[in-house]
Amino acid sequence: MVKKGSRATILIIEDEDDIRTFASRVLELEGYRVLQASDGDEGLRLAGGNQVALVLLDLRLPGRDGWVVLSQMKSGPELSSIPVVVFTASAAAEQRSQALAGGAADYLVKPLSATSLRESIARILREKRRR
Amino acid sequence: MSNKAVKVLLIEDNPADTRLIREILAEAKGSPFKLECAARLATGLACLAAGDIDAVLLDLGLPDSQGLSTLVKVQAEASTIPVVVLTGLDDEELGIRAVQFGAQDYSVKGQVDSNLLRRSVRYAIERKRLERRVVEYEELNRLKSNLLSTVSHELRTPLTSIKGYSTMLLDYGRRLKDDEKQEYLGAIDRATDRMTELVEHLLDISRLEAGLLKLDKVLTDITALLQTTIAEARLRTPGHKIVLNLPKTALRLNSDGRRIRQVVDNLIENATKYSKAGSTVTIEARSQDSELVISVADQGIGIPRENLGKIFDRMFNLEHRLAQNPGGLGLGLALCKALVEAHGGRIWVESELGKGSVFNFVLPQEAIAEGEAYGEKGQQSNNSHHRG
Repeated sequence: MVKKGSRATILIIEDEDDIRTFASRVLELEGYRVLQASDGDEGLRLAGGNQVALVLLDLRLPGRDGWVVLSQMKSGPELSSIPVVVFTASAAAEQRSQALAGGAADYLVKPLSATSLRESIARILREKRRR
Repeated sequence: MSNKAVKVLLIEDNPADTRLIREILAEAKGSPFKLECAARLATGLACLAAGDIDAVLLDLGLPDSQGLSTLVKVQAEASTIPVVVLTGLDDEELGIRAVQFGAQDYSVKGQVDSNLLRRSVRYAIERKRLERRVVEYEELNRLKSNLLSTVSHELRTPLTSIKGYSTMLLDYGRRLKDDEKQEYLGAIDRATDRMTELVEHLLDISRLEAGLLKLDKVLTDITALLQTTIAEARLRTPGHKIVLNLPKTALRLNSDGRRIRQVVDNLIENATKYSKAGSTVTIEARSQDSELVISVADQGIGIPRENLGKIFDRMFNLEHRLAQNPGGLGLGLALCKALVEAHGGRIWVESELGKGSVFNFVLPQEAIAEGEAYGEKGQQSNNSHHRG
């Protein structure tokens, strides 16, 4: 649990309403502040200027998809330090390595338990603080 | 095939060789050969374009084309027609290379014995047929693995809801209020419905492929069916304005109501998926020239002209399923077409990019026997299998 007053902000970019609600509610229950976007463009807009500590990113999105969001975040100076955790229905090994090579901090495959989601986010944020 | 004349096109510029081959083919007993001759490649290609040729006997050294490129040009004009290449005595190597380039066989001029040449043509036709079948199976196999990965992706989405919400209720249940718990149980319920629907859809597709899709035709009140369908569609997609235009007299049709509904549902779902919230989707039904016409019109993105004829094609939909439009197998329209055709009807689309699309389907209105009651089984069940 994150201490009150120092709540980290997590941006969830996911087009499926039910899945976005699940992830955001779990993270709220864990004490994070949560921002939500249902497509890539909105996600990129929210990622800047909101003190976002971490982005949870679906890959298959309408409009600009998750791959584009990932590469744009990692190529610009302002957003490249924000860790991106990919959250996807594709379990293919080459996608995983492609995402990690593209700068993703973790690669989570759907379906996922509340515990696994919470643990991944907590671990990535710990690693980020240690850097 | 065995009793029909084999139509052979000989492309050969040497009159002596032409005469010899004509004699050899004329000797055939039983199923005869019909020979057409061309002394130049251009003439030969024109013959191929006219169609109807079963096999080509091809001299590679022609006045207007030499060597393997002659073969390549023939294949480009008629990729499905078998080719037997004719080479000179001193040039058997060229024949071997031609076979590597996709010719079905080669014959060395001067060594051509009559049985050999005729057999070579017949074998070439069979070999080409098998080659084509292998290509078709490879394509089908590739599409099936695509479908498999799409299906597993589509199943993962509702599974994610089920896994997510159930573990959330397990982990945090005590901290959640009752109405919130209800909401999450509702999400789990919706996800299982979605999975059931996907599984049903898959079963329909496999029944379709196996020719086992059966209709259960009864006299159906189409007016009532459309009213229910549209009422539920409005609940599902409150963002769109869904309008239903019906004639004053009730529409009735001997049909499988569940399947008709499936078609309409599918078309409405597409219409709302490819148009902005706030826009109008108009459903119209009318009786015209002993046909029932139903149309679903949207004000959406429209369909590019070159795809209009293809969107009902199963292969096309698997191929072009857009990543931007998740939430389906991309086979809905193929299924609609099969269901409409199983009713003896037809389906088509008119569309303008940026303005919207109108999907229409017509169903033949068979004479409704006097006194036939609702709910009574029709007599059509034995010819209602979908073929194809």
